[in-house]
Amino acid sequence: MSANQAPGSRHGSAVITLPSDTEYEITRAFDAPAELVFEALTTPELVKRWWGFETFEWLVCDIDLRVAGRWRYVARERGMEVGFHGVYREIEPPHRLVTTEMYEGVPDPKPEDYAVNIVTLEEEDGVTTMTVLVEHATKETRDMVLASGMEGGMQVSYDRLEDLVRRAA
Amino acid sequence: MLVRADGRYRRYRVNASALEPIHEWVRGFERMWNERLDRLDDVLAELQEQENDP
Repeated sequence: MSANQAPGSRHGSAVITLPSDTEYEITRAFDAPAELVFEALTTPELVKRWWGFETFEWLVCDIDLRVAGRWRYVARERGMEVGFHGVYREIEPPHRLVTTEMYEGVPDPKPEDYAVNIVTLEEEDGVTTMTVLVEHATKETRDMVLASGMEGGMQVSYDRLEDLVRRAA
Repeated sequence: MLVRADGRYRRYRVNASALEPIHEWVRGFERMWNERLDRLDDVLAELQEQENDP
């Protein structure tokens, strides 16, 4: 161990802010070099160990790590299949990763419906601060996603998101 | 925050949306992301342990 903090001591330290009506931003520090964090964000074997929910039974974890390459995650969660996919827009290891993202429960999404995730990794003294800025097309879809952690879980909110997108279509 | 020196006074303007409190309804989402990133934290710790201790 270096001068870093004890393992697990940063648990629960992620902070969420709302920079605008259509965005949210997550900030979290890790006692690891940026290269390693970048690897954990872009390597299927590692992504499967942390992304989504602990109860995820992974079915697909495809990462085509090149600009315009596709990513797709599908998992079974409480008996239901949930899928997400998008495209890599910018890949600048180990400091920047820009992807698009869509929940697959949304019928016939248009290109402008995709959320844009801008991941920034800044390393200082062996500590990497990760910032994930997520830009949604509308305040409504952002708020649906933000509400997804409420009681009733993801399914309820995804159903609501689906209804909302249907109504908007 | 913008600061403008104006004679003897200093004017401060705060970006209100940046200070918007995270309301109760976002707490569950925040918890979900914390759990997710805590798992990432554990994965990173394990990878570094393996590197240091082959």
